[in-house]
Amino acid sequence: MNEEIGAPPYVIAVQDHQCQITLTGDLTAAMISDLQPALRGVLDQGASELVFDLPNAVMLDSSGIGLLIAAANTAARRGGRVRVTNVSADILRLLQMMRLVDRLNASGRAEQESRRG
Amino acid sequence: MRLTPRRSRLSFRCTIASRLTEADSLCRSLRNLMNEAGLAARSFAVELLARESLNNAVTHVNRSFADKTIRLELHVGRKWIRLKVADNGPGFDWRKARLGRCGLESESGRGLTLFTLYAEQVRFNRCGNQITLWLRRDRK
Repeated sequence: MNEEIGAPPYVIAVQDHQCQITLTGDLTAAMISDLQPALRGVLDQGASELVFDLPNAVMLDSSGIGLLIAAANTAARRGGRVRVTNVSADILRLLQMMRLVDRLNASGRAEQESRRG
Repeated sequence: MRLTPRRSRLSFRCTIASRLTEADSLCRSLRNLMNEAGLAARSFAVELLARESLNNAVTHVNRSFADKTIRLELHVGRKWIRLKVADNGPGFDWRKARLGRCGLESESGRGLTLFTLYAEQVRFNRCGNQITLWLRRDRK
């Protein structure tokens, strides 16, 4: 299996102190090394409100959770916060079992659909 | 790689080089395999446990070895799913690691917690380079 080179597996949009990171797939150990430097960049620019949008993520592992917690810790030190949106039912259950739903302000796909409706 | 679907049972084994990209590809294959075999309800748990086991092997266990390989075996029986991951490294001190508790603000150290949340039984071999996990096939 070879290393694949292509578009980064995320899209970052920054406005003032707000930053939205939309992941095109999963948030796992294999993509942390791609995302971490970009995330550090937006945090260095002063972003304190971070939204991680996971509309297509099927999997979140402990490395991905670690990245979200690290971002939440940094944001909290600046008076900001992290939100994790559009997570699947399986990922939401995982965060519930880890007692991280409040810490990460996580919300599921169905929950957001019903709020819009 | 050997794949033997038999009615409601499934056996799969694979050996990969110790790299995160290889582990990721293998986990995606496991996901597809579980879904195609009608086991989508347990796909997330199996993939998560496989990822944690493989990532642990890649990042902590055999990083210092030139000839690094990791072997994964999955067996889905009528009642139980067994996942075994072994590497050719020196192993790690799982007894010590199990004692560590992870706070809500900790940025690492959640792998072993996930094992206990998603598997009914977790067993390491003595030297810590093999983990075997058992999951109930019908757990909700």
